[in-house]
Amino acid sequence: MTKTKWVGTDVTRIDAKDKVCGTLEYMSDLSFPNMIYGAVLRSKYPHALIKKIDTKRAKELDGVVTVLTHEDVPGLNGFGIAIPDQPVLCRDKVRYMGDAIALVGAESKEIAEQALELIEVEYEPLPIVDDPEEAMLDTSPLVHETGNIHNHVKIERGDVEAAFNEAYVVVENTYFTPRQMHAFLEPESGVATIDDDKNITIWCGGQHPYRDQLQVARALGMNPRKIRIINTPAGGAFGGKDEITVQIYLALLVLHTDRPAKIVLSREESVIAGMKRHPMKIYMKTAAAADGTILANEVRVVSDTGAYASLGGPVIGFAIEHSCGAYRVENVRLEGFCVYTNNGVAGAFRGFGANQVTFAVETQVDMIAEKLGMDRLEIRKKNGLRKGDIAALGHKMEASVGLLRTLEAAENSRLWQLREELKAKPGAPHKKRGIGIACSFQGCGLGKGLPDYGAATIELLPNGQFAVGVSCPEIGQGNTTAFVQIAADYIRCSIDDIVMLSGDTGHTLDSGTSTASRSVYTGGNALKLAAGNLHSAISTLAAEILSVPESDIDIEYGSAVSKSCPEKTVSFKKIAELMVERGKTIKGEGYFIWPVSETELEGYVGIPHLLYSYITQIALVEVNTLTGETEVLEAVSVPDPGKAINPQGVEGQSEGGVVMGMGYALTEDTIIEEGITLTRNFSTYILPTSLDMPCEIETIIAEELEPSGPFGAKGIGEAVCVPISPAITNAIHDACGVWMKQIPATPERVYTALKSKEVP
Amino acid sequence: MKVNVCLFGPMQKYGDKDKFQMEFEEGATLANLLDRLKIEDRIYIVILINGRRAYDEDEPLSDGAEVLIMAPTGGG
Amino acid sequence: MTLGFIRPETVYEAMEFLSEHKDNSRIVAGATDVMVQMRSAKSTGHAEEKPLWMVDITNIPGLSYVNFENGIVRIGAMTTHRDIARSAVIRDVVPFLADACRSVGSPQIRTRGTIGGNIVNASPAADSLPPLTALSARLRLISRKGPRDVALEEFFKGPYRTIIEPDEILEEVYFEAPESSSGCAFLKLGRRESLAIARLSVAVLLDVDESGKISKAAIAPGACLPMPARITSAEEALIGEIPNEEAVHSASLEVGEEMVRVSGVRWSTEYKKPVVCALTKRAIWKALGVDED
Repeated sequence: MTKTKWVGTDVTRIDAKDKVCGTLEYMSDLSFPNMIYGAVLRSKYPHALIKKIDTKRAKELDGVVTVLTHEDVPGLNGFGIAIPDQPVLCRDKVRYMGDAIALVGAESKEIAEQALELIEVEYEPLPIVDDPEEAMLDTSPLVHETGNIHNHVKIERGDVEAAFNEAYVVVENTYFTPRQMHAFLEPESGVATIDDDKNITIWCGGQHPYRDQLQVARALGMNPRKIRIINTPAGGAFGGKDEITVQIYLALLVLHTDRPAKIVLSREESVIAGMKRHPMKIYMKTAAAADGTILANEVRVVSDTGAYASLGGPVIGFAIEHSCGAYRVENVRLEGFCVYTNNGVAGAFRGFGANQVTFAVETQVDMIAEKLGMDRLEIRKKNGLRKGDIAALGHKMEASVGLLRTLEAAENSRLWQLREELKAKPGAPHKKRGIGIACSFQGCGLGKGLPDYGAATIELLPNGQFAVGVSCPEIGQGNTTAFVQIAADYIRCSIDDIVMLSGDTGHTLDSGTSTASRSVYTGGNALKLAAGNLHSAISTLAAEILSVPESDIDIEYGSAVSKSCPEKTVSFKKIAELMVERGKTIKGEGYFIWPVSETELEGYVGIPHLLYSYITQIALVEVNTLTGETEVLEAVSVPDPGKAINPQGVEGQSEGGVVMGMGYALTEDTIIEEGITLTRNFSTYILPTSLDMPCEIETIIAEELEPSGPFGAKGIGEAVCVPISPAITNAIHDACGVWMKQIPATPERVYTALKSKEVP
Repeated sequence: MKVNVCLFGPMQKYGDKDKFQMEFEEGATLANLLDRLKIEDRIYIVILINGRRAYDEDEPLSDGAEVLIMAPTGGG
Repeated sequence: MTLGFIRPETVYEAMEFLSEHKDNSRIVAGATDVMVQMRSAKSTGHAEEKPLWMVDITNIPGLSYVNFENGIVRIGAMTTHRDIARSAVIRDVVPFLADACRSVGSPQIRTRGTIGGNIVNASPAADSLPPLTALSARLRLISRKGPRDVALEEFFKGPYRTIIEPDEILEEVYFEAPESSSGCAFLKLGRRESLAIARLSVAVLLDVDESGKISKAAIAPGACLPMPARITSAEEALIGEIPNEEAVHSASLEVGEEMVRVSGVRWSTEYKKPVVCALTKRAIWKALGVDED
């Protein structure tokens, strides 16, 4: 492995100072002269026909600049990453309360909001469908004419029935998971400008500027090259800004008014209109032999994608791929449905379908261990995937597999070693302590079926610094800092000499999404190639300067050196000066395409994956048996990110992930009843606060280097929030003997479970 | 010149096969290829030529080039 | 909805304005409830149609204080939760009120929100109300017609409804300081550690005489009754008893029974009834000096 100066060290985040001091300008902080403010009219009903839209009174209001409807969408009136089934502005039908019907541009935010009240819409309410399983019936109202089942995945391997028959133990359960909210601090917001040639620039937090560009272009019927998208920085995204949010509305406003425009959604509007994690109902029947070998798994998942598809199709595929956990299972019958309802919209969310099924399968594994009297860690080690194993979908684990490494590190952690002692710690008699463990894997990249590509640029600047461009946006995960470290070690320069360009179609090539735990791996690999090309260009000029053949040039940190005559050196700064003098540019571009699994699943795109990150997490909880309250006292998180480019960054992701997964396990759920969102802000949507966090989260990084990754790196952004949820619910069982089959494990649910069981 | 074309996902409807070869006169551009395949939606499309994203339709084709055509997508 | 905003500088000015705009004005102090309610109404499409005057009384001096004289504790209506939680008098004389005020929302909310607002808003889940009820607090209301004093328990008509007249301002809340031999406790069950609206709470104030018997008892639960009230049947179960598990248990059961009797059986009753009993039990023991947590 190459010796590194920056990679593997705790370099301070490049945006740390501005974020800590509050000086960083997010998109909603930007303003332009003569700017108008936009507001969106959302539907009054979760399901209705639109009979008439009258904007006359709104248009007459003083200070209103424009009121737009479906008639004003010049291109395709739809958006959606996979299929454009969501109208930009609804014409004849609304399918959820967040559906947009009209768009107002006004001199102030207040006037824009006032104008919304003056728009008259005549609706004919339709019967709603809010239960995904009912939605699958022929008798159900149709959300879309094409039918309510958006995607169906079915994969069978081996002989499930035979395995169930010969099994020593079979556990069969149905699990329910909540509609978790991304709850980014910065709600969906942005600004846009338009120039005299109708070139549009949009600043809007997002996760793939080049795809935003195409979606906006499609709705505007414009050449994408006339639209510039800037996605960095985003004040949090977690998948919730992967889909279009307000970009098209901003574009429509500037297009129709020739003035800059700004839209900032209120928290309530963000909650109602924005993406959520798919609630799933998961039936799972798992068989094991007397020695704990998992023999078979039968899974049926029904996923509620709400009114529109977004990435609901790929999410159910991903869920099925991960539904047998990070284990060898030879006999599987896996079926998943992604179903339309009038319940909001669901889409990408950190974990991408793995969270739901991991909760189910990790509970099943603990149940099996209990029935067999087996150690919970041992059963995981016994069945856990190793390199070369065949995973549930029948694909070979060809890349680095760090599961065992994470399990072993978890086993050696203080929390696991002292578990009996910690559990027995004297507390109040009505409080019971328990320890839970869970592990998982997380597919990185977009999977088999579509090329997952990326690019990067490095350019020597006149002052001797390097402009490094990767378009995968900074959404708070710290990828720009990782790119700076990776670039500095590939270029061989100081991190202080790097000017990072991120998330901007105007200044970076298309590097794909900041999703799928893919950006560090993709950007890093593209940077490696770009640095190689940059070095060639540097060598050419250095050879001229030093009067040595190009092949004699070696690149050291900060300079080019003659191999044969090491005293002959020229600094990058000097090379830059001469580059300017001679009117040259020195630049390297790198293009990278992901390797994929050899296994192809006929008819499916996005599964299986070749590369996975692995993780084991442990939770120590205390359950108050009088109230059902669960407190997570401590947690251990053992991720395998491949090479940790920035260990502190991995720790940050790990700690944030633990708390996000804790909220999923214990408190968070967006309640929608009959299509109406009840939890509209953070007073009723219960996010954990700093006081709810475990007093200690220990992160142990278990690096299993991935040969194809930059310096051995994979990705870790998602896995960190996944197995902690079942680790917590398994800990609840360990504490007081009840299995939580529905999360969040609220005090009521825990209490009810306790009551029906009676604490021993 | 001969160009190798590969269609992915929803774009597969534009070819009888997913992978095939097409022949063009010298000087042909990506636009000619898209015309020949009768691809109508040319906005929401991603094309890689020899691994590089082609941003414009007037990008020239070269002999032996590998052209991958797909719809944008996403993932976890 | 059209909003008017006025910030009177004196109590007199405020009373003048209120008497002129009786039908369409609303007093705001910390605005920690009012703003939330207005946003919620807007997002659910239930915003008031008619114009509304917001009468901001934060500039009026002299309404924020904690006084302790002649055995009476007086708290100005504009005193913030933060100031009450930190008040040496409150912490010393009625620590359970300090605990209750410290459990309100978050530091930001406690710094803005006032006890007067907490009382007048009349939320069944208001944190300061159970201890104030247990203390048999009284309120002083003022208007151009002059002051009037009412008992806290007579102030409420129902959830979010009180007998305050549109032209009246709450000036202060006051109560007799309990005997120094007494013990008190406030316990709250929320959905999280901070920024949590009470799902259940209970305030207990007890006094034990020289013979070791409970001589006085006040028990006021929160978030389970439409309006604050003491549960006399629970109190009676304790009075005259030397503290024992059985008496404490039956007192706690009375609280649960009363909750069901007043609020009826709801989907949450199956959970709330046993849990309010458990909470009451722990609060009683805590007030007696036995803290199990």
